[in-house]
Amino acid sequence: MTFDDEMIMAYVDGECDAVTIKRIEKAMEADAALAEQVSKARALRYKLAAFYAPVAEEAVPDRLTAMLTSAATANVEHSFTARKADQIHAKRHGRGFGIVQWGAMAATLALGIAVGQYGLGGGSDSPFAQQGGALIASGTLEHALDKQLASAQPDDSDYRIGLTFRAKAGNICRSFTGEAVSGIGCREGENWKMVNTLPGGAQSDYRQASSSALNAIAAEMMTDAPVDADTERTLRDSGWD
Amino acid sequence: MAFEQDLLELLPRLRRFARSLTRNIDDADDLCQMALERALNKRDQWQAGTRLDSWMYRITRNIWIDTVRAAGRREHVANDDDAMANVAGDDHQRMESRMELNDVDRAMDRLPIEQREAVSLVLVEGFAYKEAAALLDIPIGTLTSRLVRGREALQRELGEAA
Repeated sequence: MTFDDEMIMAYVDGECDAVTIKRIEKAMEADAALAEQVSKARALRYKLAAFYAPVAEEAVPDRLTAMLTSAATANVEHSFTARKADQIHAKRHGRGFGIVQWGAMAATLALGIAVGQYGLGGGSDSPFAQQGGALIASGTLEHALDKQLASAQPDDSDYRIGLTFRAKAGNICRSFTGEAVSGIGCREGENWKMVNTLPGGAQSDYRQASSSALNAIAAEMMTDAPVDADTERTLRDSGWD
Repeated sequence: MAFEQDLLELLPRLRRFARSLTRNIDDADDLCQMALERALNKRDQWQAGTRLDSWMYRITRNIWIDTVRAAGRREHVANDDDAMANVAGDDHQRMESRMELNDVDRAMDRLPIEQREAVSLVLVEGFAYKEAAALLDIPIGTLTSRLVRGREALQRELGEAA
């Protein structure tokens, strides 16, 4: 069975139907060249996304936000001189904080938001439970982190798995996004300990702190590149060791 | 205002999109500013209930195309068939003026604009093929063929490390 470039690309981009996914994954088991082609295509996608991700974490320059704040909308000065002044101002005062500070802020603030919002172990619908002072995944979130592969996301799952990677501590971590909550969970024993949670896509106030923020945080945490689909599957089948 | 608030929330993503099209952050912010101006002027053309992000991406992309063409830069306004020949043609000259660019920037910069916008929407911004094709007003088959070519070129430029 051969697959053309478009099919392989569609597989990597998550655009294949379930049958094709199965066929490609089966073929990859026997065909090292195909597996490598997939892994290269995936690495390229990751490289591009990771390269541009920090832009979305930067503070947006005043000259842009000023256009949208209601007081300014009526009479904001859009002239070149004003723009230049803004740029000089931005240079003098720095561009706001960078990716590391942003990540740290997201980590501290957002954990509070998520816990405040969902409570701990608040019934079977809660995505979290508390164990020994740590926040761990429960319910459908735990199930998704346990079972779901980034290459084969079921339509009916509440969560989408993003990156799976080995953290500097040696354990496996996985990023996820959901309507209610997004975050990164790391394997501890039989549990997924939450190291980061951000409000999910349903909360517009925090939408900008979504998967690109998670990717940036993940990039800080990981020892190597995120794992490919084969490794992800192997890890899952072996209980995420 | 809800409209302005929604645009504010979109801005970080829009800047990232603009940045992947324009090579440097100042050009990207100029592009975003023009896109916001146009969006505010044409806000009555946006239909509530439809996706504001697609509408804004489309505006941004159209202004980018206009700017590139108006500036008469040596961008590769080529159809897919002869795009690669075009890239090879002025490689050397472009390389020299781009020495300061990062390898990803350089590789993106050398893509024909049709491939660059497709790569940017799908690989950087994470749009589904269907969404990206609708945004660019092209059939999905055209989008995927541009994506395949764009990826091949990027992979070649970025080498094994890609």
